[in-house]
Order: sequence, then C-alpha cells, then structure tokens
Amino acid sequence: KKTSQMEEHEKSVEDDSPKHLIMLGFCEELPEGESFLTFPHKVGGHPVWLIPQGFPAPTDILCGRCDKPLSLLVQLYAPLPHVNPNAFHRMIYVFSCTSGYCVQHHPTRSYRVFRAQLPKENPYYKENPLPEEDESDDGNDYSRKVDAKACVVCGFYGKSKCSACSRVHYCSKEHQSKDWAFHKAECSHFKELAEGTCVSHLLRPRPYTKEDKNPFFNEYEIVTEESDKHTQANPDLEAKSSEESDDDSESIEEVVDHNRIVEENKAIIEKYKQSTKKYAGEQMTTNDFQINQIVKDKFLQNFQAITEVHPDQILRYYEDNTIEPIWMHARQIPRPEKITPCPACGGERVCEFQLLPQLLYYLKVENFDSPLDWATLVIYTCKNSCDIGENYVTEFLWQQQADNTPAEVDEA
Amino acid sequence: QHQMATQGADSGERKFGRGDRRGGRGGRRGGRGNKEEGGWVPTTKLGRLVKDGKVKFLENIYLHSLSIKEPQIVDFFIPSLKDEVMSIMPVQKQTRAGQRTRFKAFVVIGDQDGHVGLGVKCSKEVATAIRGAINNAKLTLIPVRRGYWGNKLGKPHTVPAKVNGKAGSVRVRLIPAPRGSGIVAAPAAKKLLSFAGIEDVYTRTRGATATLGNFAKATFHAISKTYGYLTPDLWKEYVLQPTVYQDNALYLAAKEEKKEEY
Repeated sequence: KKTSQMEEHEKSVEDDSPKHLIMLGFCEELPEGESFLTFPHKVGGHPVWLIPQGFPAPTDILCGRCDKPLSLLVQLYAPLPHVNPNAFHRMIYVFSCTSGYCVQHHPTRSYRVFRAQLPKENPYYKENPLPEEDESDDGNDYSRKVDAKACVVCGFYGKSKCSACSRVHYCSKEHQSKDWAFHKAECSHFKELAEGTCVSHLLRPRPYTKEDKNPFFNEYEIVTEESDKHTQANPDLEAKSSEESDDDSESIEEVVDHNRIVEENKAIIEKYKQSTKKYAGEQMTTNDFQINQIVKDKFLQNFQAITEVHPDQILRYYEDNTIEPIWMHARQIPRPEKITPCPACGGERVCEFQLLPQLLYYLKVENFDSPLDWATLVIYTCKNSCDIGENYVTEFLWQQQADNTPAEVDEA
Repeated sequence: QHQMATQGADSGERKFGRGDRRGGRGGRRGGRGNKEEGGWVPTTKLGRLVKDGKVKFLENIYLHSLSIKEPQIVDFFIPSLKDEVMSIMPVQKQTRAGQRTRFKAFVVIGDQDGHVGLGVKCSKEVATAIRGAINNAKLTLIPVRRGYWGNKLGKPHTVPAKVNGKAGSVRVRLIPAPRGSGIVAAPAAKKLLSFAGIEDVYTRTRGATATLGNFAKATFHAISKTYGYLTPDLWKEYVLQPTVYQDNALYLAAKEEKKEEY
C-alpha cells in the first residue's frame, strides 16, 4: 500500500487538491548568464551528477550497436522522501544513442537509465537550503560541497586530471588535448584557488563543433507545471466499433433530457441551417466518410486530445504510479511481464514518467545524419526506490516506435 | 510500511516539480506560453520535416502516399481551406438512465483548386463536433487531377479521362465535359466536385444514390483515381524520387517535384 494514502488522512482539511498529480514538463532555454540549479531538470548537454563519484565512465556507457558513448537525453530531480527517507535527493538520468538507426533497430542496447539517491544528511550537500538572498532566488537551493570528477569534454567519469591546476578532470588523453585550447586561459587562475573549492561554475563554456563524432543533444532546462486533468486513459481496443464508439466515455450524470440538449445547441445549428438544408433527407454514416485508416486511429486521436491542451509538453510525470501512460498507437505496448524487476531489491517497477515526441522537435533531430524517431519513451523505476547506497543503479526504459505504417487505402 | 520522514507540508510536498524549486524558474512559465509561434509542436516525423521546411509541397507527400497524421501539416501548406458543414444530426444511445444525445457533424473541405476532403465527428456539443470533423477532413485530403475536354487552351477545367468509383451499390462515373457545361450531378456530388475545383463534368450514376454516404464515397473514389490514371503524357520513364523519410540531403539535391500540371 502506498504511504501517500496514509498521507491523505494526515493532510490539513483545507487542502482539497488531488493528492496525485500529473506534472507536465516543458523545454525552456537557459537565459544568458544563468547557470543550472544544483539539482536541475535538464535536457541534453552534460549530466549533472548527484553523487560525485561512482558515476559511469565513457567505457561503461557505450551503445550496444555502434560502440559510441551514449548522450544525456533527459535528467530529472524527483525526490521521494515519503517512499524512502534515503531518497530525499533523487535523480533519474536517461541516456540515449544519437543515431536513429541504433535506436530503431536495437532499442535495448541504445538506452540506459540510471537512478541515484541520497538521504537528507549526506557528505556532499549542505543539509539545509540556502537562506533567501534575493528576489529571484526562492531560497531552496542546497549548495554543493564537492565537485564531481567529471571529464570536462564528455561529462563522464574522468580518472585523470590536469597536472598543472589539478582542478579539471579528463577521461582520456584525447579529451585532454582537445580541451587544452579552452583550458589554457583558466588553468593559471585555478591553480591559485584554495583546496577543495568547486570550480564547476567557473569553467568557461566550451562550444562543441559539428566535427565531433558524438554530438550532444541541444541543452534546455525543463520547467514543470501541473496538468489540469489528473487522470488519463487509453482507448479500449476490445470495444465494439459502433458508430459512436470512437468518442468520449459516458457517465450517468451526463445523461440528460434529449430536448434540453438540442435546445442548448440550437443557436449553432441555426448558423449552419443554410448549408445543411441542401442535404436534408440524405442518409450519412460514419463509415462512409472515413476515407482512410488514419481517421479510425483511436490511440492517436486520444493522444492528440490529451496533449493538445499544452501542445509543447515534452514530459509527463506521474506521481500516481498505477496510472497507465498514454500511447500513440496500439502496437508495442508492453505486457507487465516484460518490465523487468528491480535488480537491487527484486521489487516491481512502476511507470514514473514518459517522454513525448515533442521533445524530438526541440532537439532538432532532423539535422542529424540519422535522425531519431520514436513515439514515446516510458521510464519504469523501482516502486520502493530501494536503498542502493551511493551507486548509480540501472532502471528500465520502454520505447514505443513511431508508427510509419502507410495508410490503408480502401479498395475501390 | 514507511513512516513519513517529518510531518508537515515540507516533506509531503517534496516531489518532482513541487515545493523545493525556485519560484522564479517556475514563474517564468507563464510568460513563456505566448512566445511559441503557431503553437504547433509536431509529434510525428513528417510533422517535424514539414515544420522545418524540408518538404516543399504537399504533393511530395502525396507522391509517396505517406500518411498525414496531424491536421496542422495540411494547414501549413494550404492555409486557406474552405469548409462546409453538410449535416448536423443528433444521434441517441439508449442507456440505463435514459437516452444519451450527441451531435454528429459531416464536413466537406477543399480549396477549390485541386484538394478535397471529407470528415465526420460525433460529440456532445455541436461546436466540438464541427471542429473535430474539420480536423478529420484535413487528414483525408486528396489531390485531384484536372484536364481538358478538347483544345488545351487556358487552365484545366474537367476530369482528364472517364473515371469511375464505387461504394456499396452506388457506381459513379465522371466524364469530361466541354467548358461551360458546369457540374451536371446531384447536389451532394456537385458540392464535392466544386470543392475539388472541377468546373465541368458529366456524371452517370447507378445504384441507391439516395444514401449520401455511399454516393459521396463513390464520387470521392472516382476523383482520387484521376491521379492514378496513366495518360500518354506520363508514358515517359522518370527516376523514382526518394521519400522524405530517406536521406534528406539526397532529397534536397534531387530535382524538386513540382505540382503536376497538365
């Protein structure tokens, strides 16, 4: 039983908002001069590691097919202190290969998802949030004590460091020599800094050029907002396809007097009286007007209806993990047995969030050599967010591929 | 069962996106909403290619029979589509507590210059039904080929050849007509043909034409066959164009496919 249900009874009376929300995520560019929060939600760029050691090295996180290191797609800060007090700080990282070919034909080998968590008292971050200093700062940022030993070029574990200033790390000789052009200017300044100061915010930005074999995804910050609706459903495939089956579900309250409804809509019907008069008396049926398969696609229509309220959403986060994510079509929906259990505790994995194809638009994938294309990515994580110490543990990702089946043309 | 860490709103509110975020960052969302041009973020690959401008004409999509799943794609190419509501009928369903009434809207859409589509949607309110039907109609948009009856003077005005279509028991045959004949057909088909941009045509029908659905569908099939008809000017062999889904660079380098003009 989820503890949130216990929480329901303990919450104050005036709080009548629903306990389990659906949070939506939107891409936003980081404004000039600002840097990411200590615990950011971000898309692309370098990963911001929660725990400054133990994170993957470039050799640990290669695509199974093309042997190139995966790039950060999305990272989310999703604390769950009420599920596990040791998950006071909790980050989920999603890595993906940048090649559409790998992703389409070998999805299990081209994605990796990691979870990392820390309790409130930990050696890496101050225990209490910073006091409010200025208007822009809401005052809830925990300041970082220790820098992650991340390679400045690729963002993964860097075992070696610059011998001169010993403040910046590199994973390999190639990256060190590549970075020297930018590091030259700051190396001398860093040498003079006191031991143990964090230099992550002092680094000059390094522009990466098109010649890089492993492009990063475009970097954005994810801004969240509560969704208006807190339930969602996929269309029922078994429902008989009668003339009215492809529409909203009914409930008893909606059944009202027929005449009253016609009255209410009379004004609009009047407006169209001229044009409809010509066809009065003719028999029209739904099937006759459905010229191609697309109009019959219940899943896609449902998906579009749900997302059209906020068409630029890229992420749907489900606090209630019994909710079923929305799918774009009927194929490649995982059966429960396909979702592997958590390797650490053996417990079941539940749907935590899903990424939507609008994200691909923001990443401008069509400019890649082999563009990515998927319908949706759903991330399943351990239900109990079990104790994993200070390790980065793998979680499960399910990809629903894009539906490129051609429209069925009616036989003439 | 877990004990809650500490009582109070602080840890109860500590979830993804809630509590513990800088107010400034979340607040910026409000101003951001107005910035997005057009408000359409494509969800399909074809949508992304269209929005980026990699697809020059709607005809490139028709050439390869790619499925259009987002009505905004059609809006992008033809912003000035005209639509007409053919019928709004209230339909009822019997439930335990009485009858449930909804409205079904039938809409025909076209630019009267070579594109036509039919859509239907049922909804609790008329306005929603009409909006949904227009969206559906955009997805079913089809190109229409026009030709000449006799001398190739001026713009094409009639069907290029005799075409027929069938649906149910209805058989509809469209025959080229000289300029100035007008559309010689029953009102429903007349509407469809005028939206398609065909100015003159003779028709012959057979079967239960009172069933507008079948009649409209049959006419629709006949119209869609105009681009499938192999006329002598198409005898010349030509190189297959790569699909928009294939290598974009190759596609852009190849000769651009122009709209088929007679």
